[in-house]
Amino acid sequence: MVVSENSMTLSTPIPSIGMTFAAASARIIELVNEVDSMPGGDEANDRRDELHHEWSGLRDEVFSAEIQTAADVLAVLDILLHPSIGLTAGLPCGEEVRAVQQIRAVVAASLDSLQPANDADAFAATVGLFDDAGPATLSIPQHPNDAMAEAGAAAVGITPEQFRASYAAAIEAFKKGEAA
Amino acid sequence: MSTIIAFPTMDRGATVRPVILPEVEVEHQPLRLCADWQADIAAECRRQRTLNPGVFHFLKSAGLLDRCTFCASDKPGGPLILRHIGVPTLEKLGRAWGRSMLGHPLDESPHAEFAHSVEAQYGAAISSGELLLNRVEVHGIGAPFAYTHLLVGWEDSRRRAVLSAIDLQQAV
Repeated sequence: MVVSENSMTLSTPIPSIGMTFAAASARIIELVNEVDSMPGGDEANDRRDELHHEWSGLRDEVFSAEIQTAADVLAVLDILLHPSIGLTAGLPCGEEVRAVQQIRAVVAASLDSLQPANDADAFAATVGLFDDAGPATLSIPQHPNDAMAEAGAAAVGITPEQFRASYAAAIEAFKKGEAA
Repeated sequence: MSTIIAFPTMDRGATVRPVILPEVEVEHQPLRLCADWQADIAAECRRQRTLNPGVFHFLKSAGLLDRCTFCASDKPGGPLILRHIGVPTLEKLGRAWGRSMLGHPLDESPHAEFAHSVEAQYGAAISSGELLLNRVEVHGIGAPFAYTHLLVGWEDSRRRAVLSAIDLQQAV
């Protein structure tokens, strides 16, 4: 279980399907709702089978993946609470389901309360990026002045413009080295 | 016509004067007078709304970071500290100044009057929540120089940050 506040609001990717828990859950519910809304009768059977195959495959992947964040918990609970395919499919709504619904409400509320903390983290993270870049900009002139360009060019027999291009490339390489 | 603004921290309660200090003149200008690259930064910061890594990565990938000075407080309510000093600032105030000031509060600058003016402008950008464009002319620190800077301010849980995107101009 990942406990950092920052990561709790993000849903974990499930590599086998290329979707996060949250995206897969939303897709499953969308597919099930489409099946539910289809008219009865044999002519829709193929389409129904196709949709069933897709959502049940996704559900198997979601249920076998390791839940890591609160957002993943919410995504799984949404499947478990679905009236057609969840814990109570075909059954009247009992005490157990009310308990799970309460769990879902608490998880959703705590996720909401984490959002401002995430914004604050983004603020601090951005300040940190500028901090990291500060020394490199300071360390050497980013652009040669005219005297530098002329002296540098004369020393090796190129034009000042060629020297400027060369200098710019050297500075870029220097900054990449600083950042590494 | 542009107007000349006296910033309140300089002379609280005084009547508006055309020149705040003997050395530093600040003219507030409409945003439409931004250079194109300053306008690009303004548009991106509006789009991002909050201060987040996207702002930094935009500046970096657009090659505009070098033209920007960035300050942020260390803790809620703390003073603005220089985090990244743009090349125009280094050209005018010197690399030695930059080395001694990086990581320090603005008000530690030996150019006290200039620093106070800059700090007041930064404060105005942060507290107004508006993008500001100021034209600044400085006499008495080396050769006279002038620039415009687009100011973008952010505030989050009493932490403050400001970006100054500097376009050097011909001093009059």
